[in-house]
Amino acid sequence: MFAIGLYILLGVLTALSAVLLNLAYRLLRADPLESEKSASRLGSIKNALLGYALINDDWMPDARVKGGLIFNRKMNRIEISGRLSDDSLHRAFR
Amino acid sequence: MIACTVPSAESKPQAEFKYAGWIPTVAGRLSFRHVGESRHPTYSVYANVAADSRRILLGYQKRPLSDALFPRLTNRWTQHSGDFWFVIHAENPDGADTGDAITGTIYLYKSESDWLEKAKTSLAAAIKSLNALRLSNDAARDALVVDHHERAQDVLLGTADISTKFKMQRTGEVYFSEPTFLDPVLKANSIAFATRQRHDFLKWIADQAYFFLRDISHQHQHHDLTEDTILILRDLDAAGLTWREQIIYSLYFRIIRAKRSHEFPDAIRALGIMAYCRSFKNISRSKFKQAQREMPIYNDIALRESIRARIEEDAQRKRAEETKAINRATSAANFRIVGLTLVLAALTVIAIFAPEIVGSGINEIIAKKFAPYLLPALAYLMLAIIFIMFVSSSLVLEWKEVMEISLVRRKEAAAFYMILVVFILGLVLLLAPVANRVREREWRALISSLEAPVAKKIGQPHPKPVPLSKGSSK
Repeated sequence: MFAIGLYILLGVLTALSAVLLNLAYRLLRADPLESEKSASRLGSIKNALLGYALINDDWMPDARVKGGLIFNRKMNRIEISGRLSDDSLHRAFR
Repeated sequence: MIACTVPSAESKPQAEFKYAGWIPTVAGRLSFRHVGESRHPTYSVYANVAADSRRILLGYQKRPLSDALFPRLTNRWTQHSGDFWFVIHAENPDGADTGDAITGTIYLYKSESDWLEKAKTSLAAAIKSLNALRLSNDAARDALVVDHHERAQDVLLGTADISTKFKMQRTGEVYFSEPTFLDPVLKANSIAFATRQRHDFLKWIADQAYFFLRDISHQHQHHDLTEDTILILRDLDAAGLTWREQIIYSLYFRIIRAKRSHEFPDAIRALGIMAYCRSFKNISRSKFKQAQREMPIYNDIALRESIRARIEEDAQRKRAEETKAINRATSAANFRIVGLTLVLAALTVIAIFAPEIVGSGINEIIAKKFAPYLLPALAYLMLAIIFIMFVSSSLVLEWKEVMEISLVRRKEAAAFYMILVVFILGLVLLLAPVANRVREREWRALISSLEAPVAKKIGQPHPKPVPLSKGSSK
């Protein structure tokens, strides 16, 4: 039974490597202009992870980043958050 | 000399309200009967009751507003919370049938604990009571409705973190006041942080209240449910016309952006947004005329024709792509069926004839060396094929968050994933012989356990288990 478990693990690992290879391929084939514009709004991996994408605060709505709110309990404040809009992701990875 | 007068309809909202916007309505008239009902982002809980003298509105909705990519993982570490509760407390004071405006206040609770402790029980009970009174024939019905409504307001005024007054007209024009805070420390901290990021925090809160009002008053058509940045609030100017121009510019920006997309439904959505744009221009025309100011001019006829041409092109390309995709899917399905059939057939043949192959004299050294690995290798290959074909395709399509975070350093992320692939495949190659050895040990143990009782029965000594050696089949 342990052997069957090991074989399943090998199958899963092989599948995972196929998924990662596909991700790498899509990243390399992404539209460079849209990717650069989106990346400049994200700034850093930490900003992307925590939802702190840079938002254009203007009378014209920001089509690239959709905004939200976060309540920061530690600092007792409400913060403006943002992440890339679905449309922007779609344009980058068309 | 052109006199620029302030339209009389604008002076009232201007005194009390700071921001203006529009709830899209193609017909040019909102139905107040349905205000409160929403399925996005979560189901709302509401009561919309028409009394004799007015229409009463009370409702709430949980709105997850955090944009963190993996909030369940990161929120524990950062002590962030992205769930907010929005409450509408409003009425149509001129009567359910004739009144053309809803006025009231939108309240906001910043966390689940605040909401549950301070307001949920009372408001849920009030909404339930109001809904029960909706079809009641009780003579005191109207008085009871007003009573529940006012009690709810007392709860909200004393407990909500933020409140903002609003006025929504039947044409969809909305006006919001500057938000007020219950806790001055919360206000100061929030504004200070937003100012460092160069944001107008109070307008941002008003925008969120506007998105809530729009979600409970309007059905999202011609755009994705998650897109809330087509229209936002504008600063209400003295003439009350600049914000209208900005709404028109925003709508055209969205139309042109959709038209430039090469995806099939986007151009069709552009036509839908054009319909909204036309509706808003019709609503605003009298205001511009009164001020003797010209509305922004766009060549709508040419734009519409261009969008229709794009729709035709996209439809044709989509049809060709779909045909190719169907052909590819059919070939892939046939390949899978044939592949699996051959693998299963090969496994069956090998299982039946493996002992004979080993003992038949066909290069016994090679056969003895590889036979123990043949079955497990084929079993592993079959499992891997099944996982890759049927499972991995769905995983790849849904990893939106991983794609977004990878965009920050696109090429570095791609290189990292490829290194990870090499590492994983190396691990697989290392583990495969281990799995084979474990399988062989288990197989021998199984055979011994089966042979021992048989040998005992016929009086033969139990065959000694042959010590394992690499490549040995005995």
